[in-house]
Amino acid sequence: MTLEAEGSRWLLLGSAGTNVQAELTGSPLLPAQIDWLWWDGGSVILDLLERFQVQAGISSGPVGEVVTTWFRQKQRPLYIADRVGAVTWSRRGVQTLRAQLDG
Amino acid sequence: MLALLAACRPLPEPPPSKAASLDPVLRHVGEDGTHFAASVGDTRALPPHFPPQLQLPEAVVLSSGQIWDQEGGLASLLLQTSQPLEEIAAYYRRTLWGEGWDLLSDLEQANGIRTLVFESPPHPEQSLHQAVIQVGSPRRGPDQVEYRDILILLSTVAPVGKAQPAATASP
Repeated sequence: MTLEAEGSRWLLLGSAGTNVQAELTGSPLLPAQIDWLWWDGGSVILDLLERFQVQAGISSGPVGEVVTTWFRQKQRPLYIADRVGAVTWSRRGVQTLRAQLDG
Repeated sequence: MLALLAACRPLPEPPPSKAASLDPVLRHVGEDGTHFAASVGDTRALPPHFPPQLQLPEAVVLSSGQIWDQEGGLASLLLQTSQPLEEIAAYYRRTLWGEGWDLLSDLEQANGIRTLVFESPPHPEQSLHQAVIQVGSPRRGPDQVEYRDILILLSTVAPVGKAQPAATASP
């Protein structure tokens, strides 16, 4: 599922498996660039991240080292709710429960 | 011979100059043992564990300070820079998030203040650090260049088991 909110393009991957991800990666109907990717923390294929030039990510569950490294090397933010608590997104930016509790 | 011995004798210590005897760091220890330190115009009041990458390159240091006790502390660094906001944010994402810190928050307020929060990677025997980087709204200097202040707060929590029991810390 894709949506656009406050000028940001989202791809909501949820728990889509790698087969579905591969299909999405090859789809000409989807936009060239995704600002935010959300998924449940399962596997994400790197081809998808590259194809959509994903600018930032939010994961509900734990993220594998390969995917985390992709985001770190590209210097693109990735919020892992499993580590930082609930993630709140608005047009002003991102806030996590961890930052709120510690602040 | 006596003259030779006299020549080899170590010279007495010169009296300390006034400048050297003045500690540029203002220090204070509270009644409960809490330490305070502050320094204007340099980073001398920062703790040794202050991550060097928190100091934005080419930014001017306005002041530094810290408060600490046996359970941890809070260090502060105030910088000033004319670098654009996006470049500042990108620098901290590159050097902290890019090097293994967690990204906890990145928010911009209506008045142009941007706040980024990072946390050091968890380690059972190392202190946990949380860095709050607040980039102030721009203001134009007399040279018509836009400047921003950057307030960096680094909180450090002593590792579990390393902190002294509270009872022994009481005066």
